[in-house]
Amino acid sequence: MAHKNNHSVNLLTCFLLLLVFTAAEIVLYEVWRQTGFVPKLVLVFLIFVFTIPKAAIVMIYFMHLKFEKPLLIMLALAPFVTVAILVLVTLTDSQTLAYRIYTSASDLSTFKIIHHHGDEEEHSSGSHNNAHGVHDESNVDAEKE
Amino acid sequence: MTHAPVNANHSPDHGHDESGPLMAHGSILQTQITNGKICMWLFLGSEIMFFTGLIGAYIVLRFGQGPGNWPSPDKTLNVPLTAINTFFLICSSVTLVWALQSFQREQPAKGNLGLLATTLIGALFVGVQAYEYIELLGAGMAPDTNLFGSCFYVMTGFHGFHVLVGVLSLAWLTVMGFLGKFGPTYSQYAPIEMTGLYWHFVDLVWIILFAIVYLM
Repeated sequence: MAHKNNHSVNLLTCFLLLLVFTAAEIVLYEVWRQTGFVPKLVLVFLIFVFTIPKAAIVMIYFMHLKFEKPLLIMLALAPFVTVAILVLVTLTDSQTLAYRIYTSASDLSTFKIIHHHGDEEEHSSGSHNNAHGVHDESNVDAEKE
Repeated sequence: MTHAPVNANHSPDHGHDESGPLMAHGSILQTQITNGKICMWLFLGSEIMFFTGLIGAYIVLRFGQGPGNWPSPDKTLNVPLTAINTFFLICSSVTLVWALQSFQREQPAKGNLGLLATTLIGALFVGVQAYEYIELLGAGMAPDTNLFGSCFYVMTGFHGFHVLVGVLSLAWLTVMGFLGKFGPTYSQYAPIEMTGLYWHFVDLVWIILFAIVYLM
């Protein structure tokens, strides 16, 4: 075994750090929701500033990666390379998809985005079925009509 | 000893317990890592990609709708309740590490208590998630309500299924613990360590999912 019994983790420190980061995320989100002090994209970035250390604490200390052989650490980290590729490529692709939706929407006079009161609800059929139902910002019940 | 076997230079100071099944396997002697741990990390690697696939689908569907066309999670989901649930899952990871350390330090009573606590807290997480689902379904948010509903139920549902599997494994470990099956040598606590890797991974996935699904 790569780790022996003396490789103990300072549990209390890890626990407190995880709690503090989680609380910070929620407070940050709540303050943003009520004040909107930064754009959404900045909020996403700030939340990841807290989320990534949390994930790292779990992997390094709880999953004992700190005490493992280099080979196992490489094995554990390898998937994150593919994760990075997948997420980055997907983000690029999603921008293309968004562009396509809006371009085609402007071409079709029958397509209108539903607003809060659902008074404009005419849709084109076909390719926009997937978009149906996500336009209402606040009230999921309104989707049932 | 001109033809010494490959494993002749292997000694206990490499970190292996003599009592484990490790000495018999060639791969151990070359990598110094147990087969179980390699297999578990390979499995977790595939699990990472599984959840990344779901997150990738979420990214495509959400960004594809353009700004302002996605339901705001805080108006649909119960964020405070889930924050408490996140706290539960973090606690369960801590109690499991404590249980493993207790067995390693020859304190099986504390170890058993840790396993029992982990199982109960894990079950609590599943219970709160079930309650959340019932509330959401009652409020009219079903998997077929909209794209957000589909994404939400698929992502949290698969994670909840993983937690459920973990809870069942932990319950089994708890029973074995109270039967006195675990001890301070590696072969005696390896099942806890393997299950622990899986459980911490489930915790890790939730940390990411909570941020992505509930807070963004």
